[in-house]
Amino acid sequence: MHLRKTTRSRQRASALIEIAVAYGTLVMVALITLKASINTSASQVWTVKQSMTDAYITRESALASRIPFDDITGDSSLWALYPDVTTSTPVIGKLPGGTDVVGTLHRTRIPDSNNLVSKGGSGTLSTNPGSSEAWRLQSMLVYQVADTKYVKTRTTLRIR
Amino acid sequence: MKRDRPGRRSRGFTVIEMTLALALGLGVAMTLISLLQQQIGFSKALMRFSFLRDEAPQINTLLSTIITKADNYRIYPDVDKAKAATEAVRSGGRALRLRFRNPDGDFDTGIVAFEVADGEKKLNYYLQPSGTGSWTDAPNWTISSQPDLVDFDNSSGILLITMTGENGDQITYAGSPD
Repeated sequence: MHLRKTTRSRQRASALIEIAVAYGTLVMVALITLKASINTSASQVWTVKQSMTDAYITRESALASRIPFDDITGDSSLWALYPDVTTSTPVIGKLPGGTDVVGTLHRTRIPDSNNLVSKGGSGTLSTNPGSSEAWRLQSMLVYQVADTKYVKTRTTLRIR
Repeated sequence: MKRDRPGRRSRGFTVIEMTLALALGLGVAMTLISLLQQQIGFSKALMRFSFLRDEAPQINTLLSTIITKADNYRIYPDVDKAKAATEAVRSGGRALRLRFRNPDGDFDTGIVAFEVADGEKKLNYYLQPSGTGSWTDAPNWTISSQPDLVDFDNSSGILLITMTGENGDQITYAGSPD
């Protein structure tokens, strides 16, 4: 009688331990899958933001290639004369749900050293008899994904 | 072996044991349900990114290929005005009319148009080969039916194509970057 009672108690205790272990294992699996989900979701955001910023910096190249020359060197130029920098915070795109993705855009224009003095260089009519003019238009897009900051730059050479 | 006394029934579970077992069982069930919900939510979250991740880049690649081959383009508020080549706009366009020069000097004309027909939103392509005087009513093919809106804009001097997905997600491409 005593032996049977002890065995039954052990079985009950054993069942409790098994359920507890199963429960603990399930919680662990849930936590691991949650972490995996978060990681995958973060990588989705990373991929999408890279795609958006690629598209945006391509627009910058297109704009730098096509903007009229007088607008490049004018007082209201989008690219400030180096070492000054024009800074803006454009909306690059929107994530699902409509959340804006914002970056910081820095622009500057650097004259070629052989430009005439009036065009920002140190050239003379003997070194630059054609009075040609060249500018490097630099655009730098700074954006953030999670805690990491990224930078993409494009430089366009314009000559006339 | 000593036998139990006749008539004595085997002992059942105590209330505490039952409560504990029920609580653990419920805990296991709740965890399983939350795991399932988590996976469903995760799948939905992945699906919400599919437009920006998969569809929009593919549309952009296709449009870039088409636009690069064109000699010029004009933006119109809708496909009918694009077919008639009237009332061109610089922003808020829903149709992009393209002209392609052929080797013999003639021109083909194409239209990329975002349309809503029978409640369905589609980005369609129409082609009018040289020598053809009229446009077909139906598009030659549908580029995609996933965008919620496609906007053509040239107010900055470059062609910008803004695509919006059904979840409010949005990306803008330069139509002819080179």
